[in-house]
Amino acid sequence: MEQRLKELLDSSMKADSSKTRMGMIYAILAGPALGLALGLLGLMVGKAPFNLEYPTGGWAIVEVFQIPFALLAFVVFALCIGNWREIGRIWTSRIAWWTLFTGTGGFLGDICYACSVVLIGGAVAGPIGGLYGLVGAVIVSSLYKENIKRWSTLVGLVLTSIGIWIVLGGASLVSPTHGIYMLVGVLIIIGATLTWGMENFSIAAGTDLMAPETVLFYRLLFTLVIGSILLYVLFPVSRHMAALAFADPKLVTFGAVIGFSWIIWMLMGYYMGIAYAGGVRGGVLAGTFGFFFIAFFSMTIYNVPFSYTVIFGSILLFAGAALFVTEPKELLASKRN
Amino acid sequence: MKPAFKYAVISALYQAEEEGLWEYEIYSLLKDKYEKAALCSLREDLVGFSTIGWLSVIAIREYQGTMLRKFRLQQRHKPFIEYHLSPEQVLASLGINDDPRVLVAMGRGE
Repeated sequence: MEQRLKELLDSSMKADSSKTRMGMIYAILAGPALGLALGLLGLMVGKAPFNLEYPTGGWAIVEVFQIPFALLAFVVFALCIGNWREIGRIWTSRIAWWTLFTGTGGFLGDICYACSVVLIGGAVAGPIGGLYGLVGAVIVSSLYKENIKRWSTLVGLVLTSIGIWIVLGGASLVSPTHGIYMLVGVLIIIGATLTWGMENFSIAAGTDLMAPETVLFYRLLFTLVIGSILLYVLFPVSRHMAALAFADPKLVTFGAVIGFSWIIWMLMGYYMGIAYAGGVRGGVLAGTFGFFFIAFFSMTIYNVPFSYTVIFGSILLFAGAALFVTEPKELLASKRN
Repeated sequence: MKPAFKYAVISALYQAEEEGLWEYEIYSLLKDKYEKAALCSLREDLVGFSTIGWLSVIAIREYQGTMLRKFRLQQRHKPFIEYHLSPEQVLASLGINDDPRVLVAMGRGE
């Protein structure tokens, strides 16, 4: 009897760790969807009607197309899998306000990314933006006391820094702007990594007591409501932009592609990746893989000039991030104790 | 409006205090209150909670080739749960006012 229980316990432990691994695989597999979405966004910001205002045209794409279509796809998903009821139910307790925190972090990051991509292009904003995973990992590990101080982390950090340095070197070749504009663009995307890093942490904390889908729903809703109010009030030109954008069926189709593929990454790679594999593993993998594909697709299918330097730098970033999450023999189990 | 399923699970364990609850006790407590889509995730949720340190597994036992676990809410989380979830209110809104173990026993006809 004892022996039999031991076997069951072992197989249960294995199932737990395979769930962590599944979360990591989700985070990796969803990467190309993010590349497709945000690479296309990077292409569209330079074209009419989104070039009417500089550099907030990118923000207009986020609010006019990306978020509404993502929300639509998400609602269909929630209705199909049957847990849409849970979305309203979280408001019976105080902790539901945590979704506001998650939403605000994510929303500020999205705006920063969209504005930065106008200034420095998707090929550069992508790899740097992916660093939000590392920022999130550092916040999560310090607040949850997950130990990430290992030799592999240190090597990972060194590789990541070299990668960034190389990407920024290549940036001067592929960036649409130079000098002070490029510097501002880089500073804005660094701002995005910080706010997304906070989002990363708050997903990890919030999905403990709330289903990842419910947190994601409010993240989208807050981004849509707060972002639209700010955009249409503060930047009157964007009303005109929105009207022009919706009048063109081709643009609406592109917008739907952005929204739908972005939500695939958000749900599968980001929120479920973190809920399954934790803020450190899920966040880092979703970030670096997703954002690598933005750079890669931008330079291959979306017409940004190709640069081996950026690709090489991104691969180093990648390798650095991978070292962050390697821990073959340990389980996530009881790490937060 | 019903509280979220995860809130109900944690609230029941909060109420059970040091005793803890078996997985099937939690299930029988909540099975009439929630639809299948929510109940299906019970085991996964419980294992997840214990993986990230909200619950501890205090006993295990085998039943027809499946492992059953008994869970207890970790003491250090009590003040947080008390403030952020208001577990009494969560259980009251589900019509579970008493000690959940009594209700479970009643449900089993003991």
